[in-house]
Amino acid sequence: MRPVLDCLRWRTQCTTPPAAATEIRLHYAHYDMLSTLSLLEPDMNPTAARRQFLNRISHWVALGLASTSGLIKVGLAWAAPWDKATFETKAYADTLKSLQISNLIESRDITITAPDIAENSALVAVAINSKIPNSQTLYLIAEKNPFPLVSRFDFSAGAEAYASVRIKMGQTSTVRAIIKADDKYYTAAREIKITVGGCG
Amino acid sequence: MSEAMKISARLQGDMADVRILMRHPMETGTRKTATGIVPLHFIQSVIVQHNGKTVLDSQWSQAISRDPFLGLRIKNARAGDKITVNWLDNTGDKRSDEVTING
Repeated sequence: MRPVLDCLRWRTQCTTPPAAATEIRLHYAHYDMLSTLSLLEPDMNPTAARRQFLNRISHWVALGLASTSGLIKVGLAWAAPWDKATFETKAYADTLKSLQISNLIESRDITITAPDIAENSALVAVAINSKIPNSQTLYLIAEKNPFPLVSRFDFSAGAEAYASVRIKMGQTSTVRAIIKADDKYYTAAREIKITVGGCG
Repeated sequence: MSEAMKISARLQGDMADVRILMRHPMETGTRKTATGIVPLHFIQSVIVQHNGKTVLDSQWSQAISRDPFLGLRIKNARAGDKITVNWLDNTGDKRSDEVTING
């Protein structure tokens, strides 16, 4: 089973296109089948041989099921599909509706670092930091942009709830951060003035 | 093909401060030139991995600035750990770059 296991380990980390990964998996699976059929040690007693054979068969079946059901991700999983519906909402209220957020709690534990006045509307540096425990998802929203939702960040346990980006702003607007933590939504907002108009 | 990202990953205690600079036009689909409107072209997904484990999974709109910058902080990092950044844009173009954390 080693080649297949190695291959699986590699596959969960690899970033090559899925096609290549699948090809390699098939190659190794084939190799393993051959080894099962022909390389059972001759002096192995029948029970052990049978057990080994069944073990290998069950591994293949498990592998096959796992791959088809998507338990094992082939290549890099572009996990969630891009949330087209929400990204295409044109008013802040609709964005919230699309995200199914009804109750926002104002929080002082969310810090938005940004200039009060931005001279270049195509390049506004915004950094968000949340000290709320179990901060899971961050939505960054420029309320008056043609499409208010700017980005969504999902943090795993391995990252701090911090993100820094540069955004485009159509006009002077409230920039809002919404943090999802333990199924509650917390928010902080800050106004950024744009001196030279127009979205770049 | 797209240009390589610039990624810096610096250790601060057991936290890695990661700064990523991508090369991408991030066209909004509204910009006009002499030849007409430049079509929508922007990065939609960015995934950052720490030693192969996803630590940040993000979705972007066209409102992220051209040549996007992304800063994040990775917990429990050590010198020598690998940071991989992957992006995928709306035309299906993608790129992946990897760096090792400096001590």
